[in-house]
Amino acid sequence: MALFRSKTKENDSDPVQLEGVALRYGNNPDIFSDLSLTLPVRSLHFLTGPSGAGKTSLLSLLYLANLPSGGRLRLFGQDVAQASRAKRSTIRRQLGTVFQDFRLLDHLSVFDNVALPLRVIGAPKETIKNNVTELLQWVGLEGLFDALPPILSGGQKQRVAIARAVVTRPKLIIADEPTGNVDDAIAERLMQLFVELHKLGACVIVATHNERLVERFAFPRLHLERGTLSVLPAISQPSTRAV
Amino acid sequence: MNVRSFLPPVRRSLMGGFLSAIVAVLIFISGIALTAVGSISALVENWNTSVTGTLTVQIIGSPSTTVSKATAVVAALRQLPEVKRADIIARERIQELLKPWLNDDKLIADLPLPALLDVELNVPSALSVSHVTAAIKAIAADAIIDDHRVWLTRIANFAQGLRYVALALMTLALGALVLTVAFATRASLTEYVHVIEVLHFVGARDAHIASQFSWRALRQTLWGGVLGLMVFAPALAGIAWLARRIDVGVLPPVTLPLPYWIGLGLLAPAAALIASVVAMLTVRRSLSNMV
Repeated sequence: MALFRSKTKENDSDPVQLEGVALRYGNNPDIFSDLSLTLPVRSLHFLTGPSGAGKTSLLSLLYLANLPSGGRLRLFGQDVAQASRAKRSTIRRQLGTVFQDFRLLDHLSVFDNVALPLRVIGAPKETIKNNVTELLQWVGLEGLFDALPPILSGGQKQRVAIARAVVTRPKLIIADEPTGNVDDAIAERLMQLFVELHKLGACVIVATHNERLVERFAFPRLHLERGTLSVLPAISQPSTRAV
Repeated sequence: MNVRSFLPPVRRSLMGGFLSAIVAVLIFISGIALTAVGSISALVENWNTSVTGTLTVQIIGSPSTTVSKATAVVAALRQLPEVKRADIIARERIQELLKPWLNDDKLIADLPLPALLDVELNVPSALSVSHVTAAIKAIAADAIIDDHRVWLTRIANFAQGLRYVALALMTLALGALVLTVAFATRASLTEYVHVIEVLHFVGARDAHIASQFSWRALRQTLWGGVLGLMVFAPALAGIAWLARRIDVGVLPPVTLPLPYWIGLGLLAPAAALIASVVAMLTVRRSLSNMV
């Protein structure tokens, strides 16, 4: 698969560095106030925690929807608060984000939704055609290339959103509940996609409530609860337990 | 820059053809105003060139003395370098000019008419008029000299006023265009905020996102402009037809000068360009509120 060919350079800066990061919206209390964490290349972490713990808020910092209200956040070595708007756009091009609510464009076909990040960076037509076709086949959406998102099921939309997030081979993949609307077989296949991308050098963060998935794919967990972020070891070894 | 549109088609937009329709009306108004400015300018210019260089001289008295004085004045004027032409207007011609007003041949024939001279100057300056006046007064002290300036100045002032009104109308139409485009673009931004967010998060530059709206505003305004001109063209033809029916003695024939034709042709592209820039600036300002 073309998507899985070239590898990320080993000497890249750590994709994610948080130093005492705080976040609050307006004059409201801090959602969290002192998060510190470094995530290297070629890593995969689950982000867990109870509902309302701030997982989505933390992810929103990583995909640059918000800036920290305190501390320092570096993505690929760049302090995002200090980076220019153009620089932030460049950082975003190295990110792949799967939103919990998918955020597909209803007027674009499945193919065009997935092709969007490639078109934005000006990729050649042939590359777009090949990569998008392969990826849509991988996520099991062959035959739905021309379909519009409103006619898709929740699970199909989720797969389109995942395909769009990874089509540019991003160095940092942020997925918010990427398997929330699919059955276990599809969930495993989609997780396998993230695992493959992480093996090729990407830093992957998967926020999930799916405990079986966390157990099945034995990767370390970032656990966010009461404003504290803990790094917990994998629950079990990869591929040793059935989902 | 990739200008492939990621926005939904205009027909699906809440604004639909609103911008094009408003622009069509504004271009129609601007076309009328521009034509008015051009026609009035041409009219004033026409009067200036055809009237300011001429004098009408009346020599009053008994028919025997007026003719001899008139002949002497014409002979003297023809010697002056300031005078291009000096002629006596034939009595029959004067009677003919009076006929529409009096409509009585016998009365006109009995009227004690003054001798009228039509004088054309080489250079229509105050100095020329003063030299010529002195030469006329030397021969016929009671001659009445009309250099048309008083009435021409009043008409020119009135025309100038109309011109300013037409220019104000054009400025208002332009202002309305800018405000309409800004409003329509902001409405589009609200409607398509989800599209903008997705483009933003996949790394589209501000210029790229703004260009999406800018191109759309350009196309919609250009279409509206063409529509406005299509309505304006028959209106212009109608006005021209009505103007041609006016007696040439009241209103000299007016041709819209070439620069104004070019201006009319440029109305739609200029409006499109302005709309494009306004949309670009509106979107960029709005995007600057995003991280």
